[in-house]
Amino acid sequence: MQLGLASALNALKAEDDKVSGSLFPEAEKDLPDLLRDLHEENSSYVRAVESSSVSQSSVVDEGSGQKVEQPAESKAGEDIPEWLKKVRQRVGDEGDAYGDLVKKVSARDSSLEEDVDKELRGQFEDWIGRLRSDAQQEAARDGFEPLDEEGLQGEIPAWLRHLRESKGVLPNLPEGMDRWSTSDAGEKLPDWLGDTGEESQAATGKLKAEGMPNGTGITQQIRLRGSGELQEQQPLAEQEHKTNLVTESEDLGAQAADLSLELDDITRQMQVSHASLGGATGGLSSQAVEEGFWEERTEHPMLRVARSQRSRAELLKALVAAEGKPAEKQAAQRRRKTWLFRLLLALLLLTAVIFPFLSISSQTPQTGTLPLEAQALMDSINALESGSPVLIVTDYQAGFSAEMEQVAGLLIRHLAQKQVQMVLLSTYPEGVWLAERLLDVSLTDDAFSQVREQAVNLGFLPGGRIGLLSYAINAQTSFAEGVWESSNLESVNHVNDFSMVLILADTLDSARSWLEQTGPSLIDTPMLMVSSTQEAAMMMPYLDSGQLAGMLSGLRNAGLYEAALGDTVMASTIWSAYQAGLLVMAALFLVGFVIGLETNARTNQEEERKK
Amino acid sequence: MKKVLAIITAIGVGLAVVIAYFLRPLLDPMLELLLQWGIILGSVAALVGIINLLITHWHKIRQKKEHFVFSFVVLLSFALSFMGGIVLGPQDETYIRWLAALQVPIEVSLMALLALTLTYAGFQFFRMRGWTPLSLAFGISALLFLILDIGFFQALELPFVNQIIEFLEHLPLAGGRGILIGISLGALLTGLRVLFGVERHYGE
Repeated sequence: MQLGLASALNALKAEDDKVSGSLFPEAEKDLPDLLRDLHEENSSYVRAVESSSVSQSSVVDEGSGQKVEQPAESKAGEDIPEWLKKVRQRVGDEGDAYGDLVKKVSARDSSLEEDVDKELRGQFEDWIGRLRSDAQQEAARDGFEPLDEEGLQGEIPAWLRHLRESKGVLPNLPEGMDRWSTSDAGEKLPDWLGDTGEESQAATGKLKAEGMPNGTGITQQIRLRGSGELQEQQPLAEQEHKTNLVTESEDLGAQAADLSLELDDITRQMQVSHASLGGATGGLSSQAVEEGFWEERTEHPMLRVARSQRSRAELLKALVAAEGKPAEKQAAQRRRKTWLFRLLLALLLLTAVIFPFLSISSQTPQTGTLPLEAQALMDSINALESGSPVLIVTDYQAGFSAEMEQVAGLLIRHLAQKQVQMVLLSTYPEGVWLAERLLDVSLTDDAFSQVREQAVNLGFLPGGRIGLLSYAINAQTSFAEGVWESSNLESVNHVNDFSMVLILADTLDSARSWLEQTGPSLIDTPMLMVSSTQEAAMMMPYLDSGQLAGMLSGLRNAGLYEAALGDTVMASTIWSAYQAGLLVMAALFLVGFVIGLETNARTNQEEERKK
Repeated sequence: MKKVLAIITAIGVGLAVVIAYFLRPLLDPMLELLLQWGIILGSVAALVGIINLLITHWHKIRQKKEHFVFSFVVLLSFALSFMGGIVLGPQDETYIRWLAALQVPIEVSLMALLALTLTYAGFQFFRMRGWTPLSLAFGISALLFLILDIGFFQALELPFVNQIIEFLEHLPLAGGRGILIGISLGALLTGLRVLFGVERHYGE
């Protein structure tokens, strides 16, 4: 408020300076200290803003119809080197191509500026007219009569009357100043009344946020244009009237001193003055006026914006509108819904997986044809002699143990039936105890106790791929001293001395390491693979190339292998649970697929509506 | 100078291993020695990594940073596992059962959670994206292989259906083969870059 008053005084001073030279300083001397401080502070702020805006861009003052000169440039002009001056002079004098080009560009720029200014002025006039008529209609609807300006005279303080007289907005002005009567005062919103420093900044910030062009200068241009129009339309009689201000300014100083003690009153009076401009009672702050202007301006038919700009502006509007609203509540509701849906999904999947375990009473072997690679693996195991050493590599993580143990367990039992010597090894640290666990869960039958006792766990093979290559060169030196000696493997000195290498791998990386580093060292020893379902497709090329002699992957093939062996340990229960789980997943995908169709249709409809 | 020494060492060892690999078993002793050195260096690097991990978590506890309780759990678990391995020995049955009883349920639960999350993501993928070429391609292939893996059509044992299924199941082969060739070419190129001194991770 203090800033507004100071800016009002400053605006008044600026106009009076134009009219009658530096007369105002005398009045300033009479101002109380507080107001003088405010005035000086505001003046310095205005100077700073003006200098920055002038240095950034050339602002066109339509009131005077002149382009505001750029002091910074003119000052810099003094430091221009001689050669540049010559070039500029030549460009100005000579009508060569370069000179023409510069002239054309300048002419085009000036015409563009004029167009933009005219358009802005037209938009502003339209807007203020609509605003006034709306306010009048609203007042009529609410039962308010337009304020009688004369009735307010009693309430209007003397300082405001003086100001109005100086601006020519009082009804008792001399003849020939009719258009500055109160009814017209609303049309010509004085710049000092409608603008405070804070409000200007807020409006400029809003303008920037709206993404409007030339956001830094438009508010200022409108203000300048408003004052310019005032100056243009001010009759000569008013100029004479203003000369009386010299004497009246002393009174103004005295009145202003009283006002410093009645700031609340001033606020009320300012609001009443604003309201009188619109013909409605109640406060109409300049901020609201500017907001209304920008709000309506975006809908103006003259406004040409790209669709992307409009959508961004709408998004910003929505964000601003959502500001302060209980968004957190909506987000919480959404989270709750998502959580509930996930819970339902989990329950559905769990029910599908658990149900087969409870419902199936008899175990039936799986039907189908055993794949060729699984048949080859079976044939390789069948060809093994009793007591022959078989290397089993347990390179899988604990997370895959549920699947791998079901598939590998079958082969372990098959190997145990053949009475072979199992040698376990892993390049995974956890593979050491997973190997032991695999033997424990697979060889539960007493018939396999001897095989279980003879099984050797060599433990962890360090070094990754380097370790594998080292192991392929010399199997014994890859382990700590004593490990190989105590493992009862006298007949094995090299990896090729094993009768079979069976790799249980859950990832392609691990399988590749064995195939590429150890594979070339295996001359007459078959390498076989047990893989997880997800990696089976990646192993197929190695099967086709003959690097792998056989492979078993996934529960389905394991079920078929089991059926071929005549075993029914894992048969119906696990397989049925697996099938049920897959079926529910497929059904959910299908539901999502159908809902996606609806989403697609809705999106298309919205696009068509927009077009 | 240090940089040059590192480059010379890397290129020298790389060339020696490649030559020894091609001249096996003549140069097996040299190859074995170099590989053993590599394994020892790798193990020391792993040890340094473990010590760094422990120090980081110890600092978190000392400074009482956010979620420092988890750091405490990490250190406690490490201490118990380490002491168990030292006292009982890494091949001890009790020790192995103890570790497996902890690790297997945790990791299997995580895998189950992954299956649930993927199902949910697949459902949401179609719901949110609608029918785009990408979602259609993904949806059709996912549905097809889910249904094929159920084994219903295979159980029918119809020759014509089996032929179609066989054809469909061999489709991923082409993609798999392409990926493998890409990996091999990438590995070859990286090896050559190291040998020629273009790739110098060790110098950084």
